[in-house]
Amino acid sequence: MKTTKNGLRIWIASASVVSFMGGWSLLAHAPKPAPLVTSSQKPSVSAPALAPLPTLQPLPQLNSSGSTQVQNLQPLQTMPQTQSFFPRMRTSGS
Amino acid sequence: MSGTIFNHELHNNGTSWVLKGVAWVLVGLLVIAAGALSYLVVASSPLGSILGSSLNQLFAIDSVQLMWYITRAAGLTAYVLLWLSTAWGLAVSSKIFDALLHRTVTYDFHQFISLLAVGFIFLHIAVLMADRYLPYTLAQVLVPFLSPYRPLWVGIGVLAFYLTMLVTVTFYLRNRIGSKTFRSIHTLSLVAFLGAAVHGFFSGTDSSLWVTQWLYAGTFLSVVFLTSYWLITTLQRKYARMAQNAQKQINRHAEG
Repeated sequence: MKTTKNGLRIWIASASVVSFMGGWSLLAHAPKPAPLVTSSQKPSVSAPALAPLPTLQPLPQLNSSGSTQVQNLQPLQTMPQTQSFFPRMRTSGS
Repeated sequence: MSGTIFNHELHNNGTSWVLKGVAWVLVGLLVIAAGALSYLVVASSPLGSILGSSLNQLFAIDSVQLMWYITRAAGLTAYVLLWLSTAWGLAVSSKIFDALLHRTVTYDFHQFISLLAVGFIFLHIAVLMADRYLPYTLAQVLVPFLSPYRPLWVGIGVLAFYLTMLVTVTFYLRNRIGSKTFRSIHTLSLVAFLGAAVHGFFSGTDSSLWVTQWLYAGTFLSVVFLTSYWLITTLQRKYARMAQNAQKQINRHAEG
């Protein structure tokens, strides 16, 4: 009985150590596991690919060739306010 | 979770098992020393460089994640041993092995598996503290729910570890605490196993692998099956005893 006991002990101890070493080696060579998906970590629906934003053509610089145009520009004049709004008082039509 | 027939053999006096423990530790130290010596001898020979590179390739010793591999392997081994101990204990209590092996042998094996599981849990924890990527402090390891990584699931693992320790220690205190208390405490091993399973599945980084998922599913379902079987056989025995007592009383009454 003592032999059986010791035999079982030695067998399970050796099996555990071998399993541990085997597990270590397997984990070292296993592909990196993906993390468990949680709602906060990964979106459930993938976002659609966004189209690139359109870019505008650059505006011509004012100093380079458009100096004459600048000179031709007339400053805005504010027109004097000659007419003001007066509501008409209608008394007829009733 | 086990009978009381073999108390005389299992529970010797206190000094006996202390001496046995010291002997086992000495044997372990001798094995480690022999291993270290043979490593030094081999490493100094030309064969050593070939062997070294092979071992390096096999166990990824140069890797930054070395400690992480070791702690994961130790954790999984501890979990499998804990499952084996729980399943074995349930089988022993249900008298499944009685036709094959003597109860002293099965009980001793159950006790030894528990000790081995505790050893691998200690390795799992110790290596976790030595990890460079996510090092744990002693407080984070010992106090539940303080872990910086998945605190709930790691905390459940810490509690499961304490329960396992409690159950394992009571193996050696059975004579002092009595069989009834021993059995009550021993039932907690089911809770400890459940905690370990939950901890492993939800905090393990390998849980997304199908092998690991099958491992957790298989071990969990087998324990559920054995627990149901144990409960049924225990109730059957209880009712049979009650019926026997009732029959005795009826016979006594009829005779009187």
